Amino acid sequence: MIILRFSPDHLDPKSTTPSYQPNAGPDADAVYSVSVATSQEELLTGAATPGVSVTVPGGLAASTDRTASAGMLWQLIPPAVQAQISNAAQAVQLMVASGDRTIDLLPWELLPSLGKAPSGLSVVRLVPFLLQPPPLSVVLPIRLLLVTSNTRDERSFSDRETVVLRSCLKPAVYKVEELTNATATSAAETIHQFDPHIVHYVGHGGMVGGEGAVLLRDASSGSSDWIRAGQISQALPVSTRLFCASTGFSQRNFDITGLVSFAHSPSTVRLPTCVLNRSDVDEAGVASFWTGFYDRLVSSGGNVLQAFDDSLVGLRSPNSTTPPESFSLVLRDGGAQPLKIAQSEDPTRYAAEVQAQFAARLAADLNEKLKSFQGTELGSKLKESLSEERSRFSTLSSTAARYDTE
Amino acid sequence: MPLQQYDEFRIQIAPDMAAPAQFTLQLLETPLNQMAGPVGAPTAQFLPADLASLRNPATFNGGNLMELQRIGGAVYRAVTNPTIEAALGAAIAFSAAQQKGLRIVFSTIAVDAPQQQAIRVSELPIEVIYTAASGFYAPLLGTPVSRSLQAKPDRPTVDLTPPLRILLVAASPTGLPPADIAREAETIKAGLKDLIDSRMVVLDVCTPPTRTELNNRLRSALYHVVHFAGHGGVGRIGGDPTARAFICMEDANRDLDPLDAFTLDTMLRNCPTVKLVVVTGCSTAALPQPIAGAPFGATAFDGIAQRLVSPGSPSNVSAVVAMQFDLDNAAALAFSKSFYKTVLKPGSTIDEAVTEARAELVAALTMGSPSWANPVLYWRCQDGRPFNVLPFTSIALSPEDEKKIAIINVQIATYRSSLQDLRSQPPAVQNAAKDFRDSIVNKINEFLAQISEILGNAIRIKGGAAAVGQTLDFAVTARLRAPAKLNTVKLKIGYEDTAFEFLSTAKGANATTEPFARNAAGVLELLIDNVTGGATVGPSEIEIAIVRMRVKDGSQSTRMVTIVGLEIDAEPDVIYSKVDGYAFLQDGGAQ
Repeated sequence: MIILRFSPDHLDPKSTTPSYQPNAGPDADAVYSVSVATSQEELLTGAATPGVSVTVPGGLAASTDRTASAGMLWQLIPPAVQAQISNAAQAVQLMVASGDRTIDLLPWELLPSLGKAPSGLSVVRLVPFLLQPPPLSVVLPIRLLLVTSNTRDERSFSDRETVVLRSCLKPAVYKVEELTNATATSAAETIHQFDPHIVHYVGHGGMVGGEGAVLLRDASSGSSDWIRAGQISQALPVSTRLFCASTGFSQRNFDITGLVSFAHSPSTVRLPTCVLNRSDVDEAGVASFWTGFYDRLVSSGGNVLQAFDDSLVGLRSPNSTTPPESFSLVLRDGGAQPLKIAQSEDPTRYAAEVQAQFAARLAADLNEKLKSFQGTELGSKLKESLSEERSRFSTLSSTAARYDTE
Repeated sequence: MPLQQYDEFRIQIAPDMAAPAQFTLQLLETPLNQMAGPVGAPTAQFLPADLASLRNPATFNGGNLMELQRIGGAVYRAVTNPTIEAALGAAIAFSAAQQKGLRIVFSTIAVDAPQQQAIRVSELPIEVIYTAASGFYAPLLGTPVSRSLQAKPDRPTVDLTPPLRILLVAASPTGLPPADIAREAETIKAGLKDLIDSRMVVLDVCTPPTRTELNNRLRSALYHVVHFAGHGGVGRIGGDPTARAFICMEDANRDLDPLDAFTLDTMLRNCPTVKLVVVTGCSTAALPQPIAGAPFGATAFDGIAQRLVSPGSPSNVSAVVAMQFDLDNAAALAFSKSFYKTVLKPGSTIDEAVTEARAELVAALTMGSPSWANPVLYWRCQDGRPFNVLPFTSIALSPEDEKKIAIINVQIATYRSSLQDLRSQPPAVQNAAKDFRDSIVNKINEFLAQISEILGNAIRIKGGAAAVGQTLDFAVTARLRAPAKLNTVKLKIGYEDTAFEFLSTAKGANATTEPFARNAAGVLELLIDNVTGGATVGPSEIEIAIVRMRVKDGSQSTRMVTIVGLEIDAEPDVIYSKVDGYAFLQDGGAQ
């Protein structure tokens, strides 16, 4: 696993080496510092390599030339990492972490198309979390809430969207509840009652005040109600371990970059791991990807990363009109395996898993607060609390993990 | 003890310019106004030999009541005459009939006498006045004795919300008789321990005791009192031909750096909140010797104490307490303990505080020791109060404690956020995370206890956990940092009446009486009488009442129940902080 973290150059205190200039276009305008880590721990504790400067060519995100774009993206990777990828004997997992919208919008998923990695290359995004909670054990069927919301003032998606998606979900392993014409209130209520493991939203994206949003329906007027990621996160229980934000094939999306930003929200926004669309799709592509994904999610025991990689295979065929880079996986709270398939309910295991999540969240909050008081006497008090919660998290995680071996 | 109301009996003593070595007396103020006016010369002169005897520690080693009475009688005759005696006796009787005390103030205004061999006005140990009929006046609360350099008080009283901030300057430069300054500081701290513990006093020590550090401190913090402990002296400083009174500061090499009264006065101007200066030095209340040919008007205020409250002083100081003689450790401890405690009583006067301290010294030592007469009080504050001590508002904290509480509040906010996160989960998740929730609740309670600890004495509401429809008992507790007797606790508790329904009150586990309660529109008034049953309770947290509420709404994970008003009658009479309570709520579904 290789993690590349891109930071606006001036924000990286470790940026000490001379910059190298990739084959940037004449309108290159954004300089970033890229550092390399092999784990989230390294990334969060400052153990990543010192950053080196790279210049991101302007217009790269909007380029329609897939090959040229992929080439430019490759040039943004430090040479040492390029060599590591090219010489790897095994498949390489590349994760891109940023938190910067320019980097988030780049089609990093194009990189595998270059064929640089002899044993294969998988690209996902990462919003690092301080502590990764254990996967939540789920006894089949997995509860999935399908949310759509056609509004009076926006292009409507056809009913065919949900028909196709439902066909991707095998009734034996997925218990699906569908919420149509969803409002913020009805969505929150349904989530609270149904307690879904997965929420799958199909609809328009948008940006509100720099934050990614989904378009739900205003209860009184029926018009669009732009619900930001921060608002959605408050309605999601810890038992919702995956959020899918997909666009439809029956209409152009209002602003699909809104879905991208939604999934890339900062770690302080409590969203689970997200699968999303970052460009247009067609019906065949939707059916291919989501059928493969949801099937593989179960067969892999809840491994989202594996399910995601495997479901892209069908989109790489010459017949596919939906390119694989239309789909993106953002690993967040819950990471690559947010849930695991269990044979039976166990209240003790469930309690340990759920509480480990709360402990991880509390530790993350304390760590966030600590940033403001770092190096002060006050910071030491917060560190004590953080240490306690880390310890609690370890204990609960160990309790949950015991069931894997029993 | 109830505070005394005072009438004033003010006598002006001035040198008789027409008759060297003689004083003239004038009665400036008396409750029987028809007796005011010039009243002639004192009955007798006070002799230098008597002053020397009073100042000689050997005279009173172990106490010498008869000698002290003899000297006291001599002083009395030097500052009174038959007219004053009659007026004083009548005034004391009149005030007593009004259930008041009589404040006796000797006003030694403006100029000092030019005599070189006789006792000067400011050297008269007025505090020791004695008559066979009335005994010593100064240690009696009914007749406090003090001095002034003004005919009438002219400095305004300023509001003070405790804690009283004291800057302690304790210096012992090399080359002077060694003073155990560390012990001196510890003695003062020990005397103030109860007040410091109960957050009534914050004591900062000026370290190192150099004039630079003192100046920095005075410019950077809002002190109310400067307390100097160490040596003083009189002499020429540098090339200045005029001898001046000074206090002995240290320079960077710990050598003597004399800080004269004028310079100190100017430095104090940079800290306008300083209203009171206490000087416990060896000779800091003594005046420099007059220099032949020099006008006495120019040197009369050169004594430290006199200078700081003189009409020309640039500082805002309105009262100075200085010692006439050396002060031993036992006396210093007793003095500090009693003096500051009374200063901090709402409504107390500065002469009352000094008199309380004299009484404490009498009790701690003996009447035959002149220690109780040692403190000299000069004041010019209206109503005799440098500070108007506010009985209770919010407590002012030291910057360190404010930081500590701030970070605990950050922790509480973070843990509360976690609790609210948990509260928004589906019932199955809430039930699964019950242990986590309980531990967070305990953690928040621990944090609240830490705040209570920092605040010192506190009345606290302790909540609990309950679901909608259930009853929740809020415990009202008193956290005592030092032994105390709680007589009456009266508090107003604000709560959200959409979230709670008041049901009843009950006697706390450690209280002796049931509380009286009155409830209206989300405010519950509680009166708990005779809380500790007249007993003094040691440092602990005691439950003084129970308030029972029914939970009406569980949409929020936590609700605060706040103390919006608090009045306490307790002994000792110190400030109590308030710590609000948290209720941890569930809806009906979660167990």
